Amino acid sequence: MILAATFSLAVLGGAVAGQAQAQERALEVFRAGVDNVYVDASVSNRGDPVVGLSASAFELKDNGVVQSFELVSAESLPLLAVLAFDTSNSLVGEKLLALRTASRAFLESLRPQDEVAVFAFSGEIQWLARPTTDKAAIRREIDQLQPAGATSVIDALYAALTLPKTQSRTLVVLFTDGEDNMSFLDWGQLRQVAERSNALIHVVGLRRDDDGFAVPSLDLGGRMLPSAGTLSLEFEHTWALRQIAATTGGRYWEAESPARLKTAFAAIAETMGYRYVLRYEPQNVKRPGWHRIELRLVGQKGDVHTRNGYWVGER
Amino acid sequence: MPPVPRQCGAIAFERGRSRIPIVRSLVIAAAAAFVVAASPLQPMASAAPCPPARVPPSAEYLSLVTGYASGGHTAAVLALDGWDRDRLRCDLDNLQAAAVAVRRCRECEDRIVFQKFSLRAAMLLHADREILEQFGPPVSEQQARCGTGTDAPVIERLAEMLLMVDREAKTFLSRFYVGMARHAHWSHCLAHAELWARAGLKRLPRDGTLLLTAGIVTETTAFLTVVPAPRTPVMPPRAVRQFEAQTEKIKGLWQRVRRSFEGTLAADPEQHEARLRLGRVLWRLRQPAPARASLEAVLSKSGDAALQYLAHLFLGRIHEDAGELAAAEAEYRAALEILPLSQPAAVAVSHVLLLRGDPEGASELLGFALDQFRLRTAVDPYNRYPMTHSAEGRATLAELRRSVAP
Repeated sequence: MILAATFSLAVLGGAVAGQAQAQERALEVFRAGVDNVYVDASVSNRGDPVVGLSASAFELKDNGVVQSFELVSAESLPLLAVLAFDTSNSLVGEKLLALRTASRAFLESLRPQDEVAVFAFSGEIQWLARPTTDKAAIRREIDQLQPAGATSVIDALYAALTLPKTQSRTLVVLFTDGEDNMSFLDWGQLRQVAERSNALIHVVGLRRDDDGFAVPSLDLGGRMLPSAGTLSLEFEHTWALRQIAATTGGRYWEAESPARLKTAFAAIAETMGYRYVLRYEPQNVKRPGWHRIELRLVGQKGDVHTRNGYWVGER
Repeated sequence: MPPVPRQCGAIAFERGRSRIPIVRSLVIAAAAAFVVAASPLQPMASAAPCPPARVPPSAEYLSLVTGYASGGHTAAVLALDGWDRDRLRCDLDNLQAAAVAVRRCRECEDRIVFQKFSLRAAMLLHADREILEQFGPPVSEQQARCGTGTDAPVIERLAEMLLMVDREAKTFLSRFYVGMARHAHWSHCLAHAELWARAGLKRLPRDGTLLLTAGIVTETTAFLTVVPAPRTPVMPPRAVRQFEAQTEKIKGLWQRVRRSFEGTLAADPEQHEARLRLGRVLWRLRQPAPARASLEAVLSKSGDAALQYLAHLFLGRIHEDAGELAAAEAEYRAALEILPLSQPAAVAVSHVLLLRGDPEGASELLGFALDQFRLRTAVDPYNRYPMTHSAEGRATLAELRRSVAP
């Protein structure tokens, strides 16, 4: 009996339909199964967390089929928090100090039994700390972060999803203040990996001083920069991070200034404290392939944040 | 100094006289107009009329440039800072008159001017000041300080003169413009890097290294141009217009990059780096077949390890897109074999292993690669790719400075 859900890390379709089909075919070699599925969810109403709901307040569908489930105490489940921090050159001065302060506060919000792993990324990725419950060691690593180089958000998030080995629920907290300009993988590839991971991803994006939404990571001599307020488009970078976080049930938290970083990290910690964990054994649905999860409130007002689905490979 | 009348073809020139013969004035004006037209950089503003023409250039300017050529770089650049711009303009006018004369009559006495006065050193002197004032130190992910100063049009005039008097100048000019473009690129002044490259190409339109340099700068610009999020049905009309404009701009930039590298290869088929970059651009333009052919040609024709490494990486991605995962893995592993500590190659292999149903292998390989982080001593060619060669600009200009020493 497999107690924890086993989600195959696999690939979805690419940006191009043909590529997607080819890659889906390649996935047929996957072997994995699901006995119990755990679904993390948080509920908010006008931004405020909604707590104390019972199982009867939810309706859960797996590929459109209503499922029986039970609520599991989130407190009883161990957690691995994977911190992936952008330490590129733009993180100079007060931004870095604010990140240290915010992450310290976040670490304090974790329980003693919770594990933490740390990645730092610029042009390259460093795995600074393997999963550990030694929060002091984690703080020391974070205190030594130094800004340098470009930004490999995508590759770093891929590493954060792929490397830490744990039986715990995984929470990935990604912090970035710039656009990816160095990764080998692209957003489509990352999203495929995120969808098939069992991790909950929260992203903290720090707005740059000089932009309206997002700006090129390197100066373009003034020619290419859309000035703040003149471009009402969301850029791919922010959009992709928002989508990837939402796909896993997490959120994109935008900090408008370094001082707001602590608020964003605290909001994530608070969300984790108010989460609901639903456990169910899928009934009347075909096992292999993509399982779309729909979770809604019954007779309650509020927004439910949960992952879009999960993937089961061929047994 | 007493006036020494000289005769050179149809053009009369008398030292110490204020009047420049009318024919010569027209030639100068035409040459100046050409320089302005040829240069994307702004010309100097004309001001007061020149003092009486003397043996060009003035002793002060000659001394300044000679001092620079002799190694007094900093002193000369600082001295130029307070230089009277009208006096400089007159020195340039007089030098240009002599250069025009030499072009028409290479055996005339005017050539003596350029035996004493090094146009190459003068170009480098003004280039140093332009770099000092207009290009800040390289800063990634922050606003760079960039501009075009008053020395840029001076450089253009001097370059024009150099081509008139020195038949061997093309190699120097090629290296000079490549050096300037790369220096601007290094400073993250992409628009100015392109201006310098294009200024060189106006004089040397078939120069392979200049074409490659211009192409790389445009590629970096395209690479860093912000990509809008996908269009949605609820987008307001203004946002739709902006989305379409931005999308067209990006597409146009990549097409320009493609044409740049195609032009490079047409001028110099031995530019294997252009072939590699063309392959990558064609992949971005969703033309996998010609992209693959271009990259495979790099593997068969170039012995450069960095180019081979990148060609394997890029080819792997093309195979991966096509669902040819075994072929993709083979290419990625070939890249990793060339650079065993490469993190991008490790990420690529790890990801393809995941796709092939081996998550343990994917994790193990990537974990090993990340453990090697501190062993790496050089920047990975993949990480360097957008800024390739830009750091070489300073070295190129330093070599040129040494070459003008007496």
